[in-house]
Amino acid sequence: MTEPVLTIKDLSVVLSRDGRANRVLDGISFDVAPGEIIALVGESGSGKSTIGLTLQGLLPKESEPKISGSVLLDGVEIVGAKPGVLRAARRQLVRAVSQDPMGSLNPTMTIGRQMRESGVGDIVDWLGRTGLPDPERIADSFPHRLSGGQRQRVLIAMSMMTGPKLLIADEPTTALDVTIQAQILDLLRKLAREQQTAILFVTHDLSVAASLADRVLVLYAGRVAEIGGVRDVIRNPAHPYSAGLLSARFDFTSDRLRPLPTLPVERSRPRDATNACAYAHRCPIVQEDCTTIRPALRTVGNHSGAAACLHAEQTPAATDTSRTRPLWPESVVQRSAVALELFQISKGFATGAKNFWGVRAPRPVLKSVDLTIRQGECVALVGESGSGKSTILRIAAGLLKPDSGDVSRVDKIAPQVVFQDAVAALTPWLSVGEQIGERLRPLGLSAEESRRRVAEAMELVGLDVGLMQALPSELSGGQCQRAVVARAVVVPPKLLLCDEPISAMDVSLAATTLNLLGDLRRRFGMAMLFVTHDLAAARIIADRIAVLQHGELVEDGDPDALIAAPKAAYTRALIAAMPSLHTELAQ
Amino acid sequence: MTDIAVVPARHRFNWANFFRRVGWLETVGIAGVLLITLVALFAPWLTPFDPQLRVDAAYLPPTMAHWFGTDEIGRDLFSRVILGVQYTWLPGLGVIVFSLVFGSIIGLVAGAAGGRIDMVIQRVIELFLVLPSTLIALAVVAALGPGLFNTMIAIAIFWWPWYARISRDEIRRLQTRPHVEAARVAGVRGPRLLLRYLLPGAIPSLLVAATLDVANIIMTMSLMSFLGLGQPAPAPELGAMTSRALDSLTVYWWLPILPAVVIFFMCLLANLAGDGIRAALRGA
Repeated sequence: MTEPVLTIKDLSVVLSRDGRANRVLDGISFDVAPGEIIALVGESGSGKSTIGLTLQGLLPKESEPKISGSVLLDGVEIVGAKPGVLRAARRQLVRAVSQDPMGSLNPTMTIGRQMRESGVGDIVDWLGRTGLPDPERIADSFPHRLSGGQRQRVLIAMSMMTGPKLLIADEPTTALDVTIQAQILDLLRKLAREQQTAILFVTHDLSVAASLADRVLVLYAGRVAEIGGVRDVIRNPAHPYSAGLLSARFDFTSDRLRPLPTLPVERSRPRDATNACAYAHRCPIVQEDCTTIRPALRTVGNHSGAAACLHAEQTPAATDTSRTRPLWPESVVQRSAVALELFQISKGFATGAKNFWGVRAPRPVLKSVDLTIRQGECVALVGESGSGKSTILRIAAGLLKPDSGDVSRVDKIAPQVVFQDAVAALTPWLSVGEQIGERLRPLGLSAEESRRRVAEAMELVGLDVGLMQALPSELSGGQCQRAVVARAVVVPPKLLLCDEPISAMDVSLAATTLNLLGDLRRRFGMAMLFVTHDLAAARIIADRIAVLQHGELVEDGDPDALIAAPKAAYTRALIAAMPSLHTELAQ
Repeated sequence: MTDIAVVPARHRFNWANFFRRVGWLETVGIAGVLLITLVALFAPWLTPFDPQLRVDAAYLPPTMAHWFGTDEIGRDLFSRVILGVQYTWLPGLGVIVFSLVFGSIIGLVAGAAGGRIDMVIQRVIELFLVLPSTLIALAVVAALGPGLFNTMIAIAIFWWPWYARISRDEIRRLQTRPHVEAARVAGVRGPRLLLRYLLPGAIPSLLVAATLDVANIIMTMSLMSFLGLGQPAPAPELGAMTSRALDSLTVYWWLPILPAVVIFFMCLLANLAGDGIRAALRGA
């Protein structure tokens, strides 16, 4: 057998935040063979990014990292190595591609100059190999002239031209449109095969992992829950957590008539789980010994890998829960009453080049859009970045004025918005309860009465009422999103506008959020505009999907009919680009 | 980075956490600023000798009896420095507090109103900023007559526009932030939006600017004293003491050096306290 390019043995990392020490990685061991692609999968906080940072020696100093165990990178020990050794490793052995390519490129240098600094090689040839059209022009341009997908290709070219032994790709496609994502994944796979470069691919998306990786490593709470061949893990998950992740994954075949299956919500993690399974408090098949014995990785009968579960034989198959959940109640769409009507809306932004008089030419973003949402109806607006879908939402919310056209909303209560970045949508210095209660102020309720209403709203969205006095920084990302939703529904509006609320979430959180929104809109008979680039999510939540391309609605129809028989070429491309577990496995 | 779900404890104040977040050097700064303020307030009761009277021979170097030595007419330098802290620190603090409050309010109004009001206020601010500040101060003191209070007025007149500008820019920046937009969507309007959602976001920058300005204010006040426009000569103002005794640096080093060292520590502690306050606000 060939020598592994990376050997990690019993790696533990402790990071501190505000003086509290957290064991972020806890006894991780695995090997990576040359040219092998391993996907690191887990929810946020599972420590998957920390592995990549540890390999590069880039853990933030201010969190006082304490590393133990061993990391052998091509025979060189990284843990406890001198800065010089780490630098040499970063230069020759490991390269990284991050989620935010703009942050990794120097905005003051042309692409060509940056690549020359990065290593020797034929720059134009390498840019061409990543599929960039007109590589000479790209080499001469500055990063801000390129699109997100182009920047990511540049970063990949820059990383691969030095012939690294290991590439760490930390969610490189999360910020990209699905069509671009599929191309980037193909590119990574092709280059890894050509150069025998091993890839550690960090992702929260199991279907992305399935379409790319040879093996998958499921992390939970800083421990390896399961490791094994992609097919084995996806077909026969041995750890209940992997099984849960798989069943929470939704695609075009998920049942949209009932709530999605989800993992139990993480409310708290036991501080000290040294002698217990870290997953015990969420596990559906938990037994007495789970809280007293820490399970070691062991081979499990039904696949080639290993899982850290004492009762792996009882792990439920991923798909057998679907029929037990109750159906959603009947649709409450009122055919006659309109919640939002956009009539021939157009909007341009002055972002073009300055003309002779110093006036910028407006670049049209929306060209005469007509969209009607009936009361109680949920319309999903799908399109890639730059198609103008967020502009429509902002116009509907009254945050932007259209250049021409009419907006009519028939409601006394202003439409509410659920934002993409829930953490940024909460004011950091005000308590969660105060911000939720903000919408009750015009009603002139007594302090006691408002407190009760806020508590009710928090309970409704599944947010611990004890968090009323907490500041947003004390909440996890999922809890912040619940708080934002609670603020939106504490006085239920007739129209709820959701701006990509799940695009930055991991699988189980996204499914939970879709269920929550689906429940609330039926409960209050709210109409909903759901802006997303994820067709699968759109299909699950919406009664109708509208597809937007270059500021024009190109298609509009019933979700299943639209996905089964898309009319517009653009819709077909979107559907083809969606990674799906089942189609990947069928290949 | 990854975020880890923790159950937040109920609101509690924990000194250990405070020190860790703020840093011990910054904590020393905050304590030092409080101490200086106390010394400044109670200076008349803290002086071992009468700072205005001859108590010993002239030009005595520092001894056990006179910690900072004596000056050219035999006054106890330590007592004069203690009183000097009062004469320098309190007016400096006064000017800063006035500029901070007045400037932030003007900036808040400009930033929140936008449009024409913002334009007019900005031009007024620029008018104050382009005027030669020292000349204006001289003119004000010449018109009102020298004295502590008039010096403060003269300095404050050209000090507040800086804060108005910082405050205005911070408010403009905050207004495009998602959380302020979210508050607008939730129906927050008027003074409540200004005071609860916008102003607290501008305070950290303003406080940092203010603490860095303590040194500048002290220097400006010394300059005024040096030109004879500060407090009248016998008043022990630290900057004036330093500048007047500068000639004798090579012979009687303690006369300019020791008051200057006290000024140095006042500025240093103020800057450290500023860093500390910023860290404490960030984590609060």
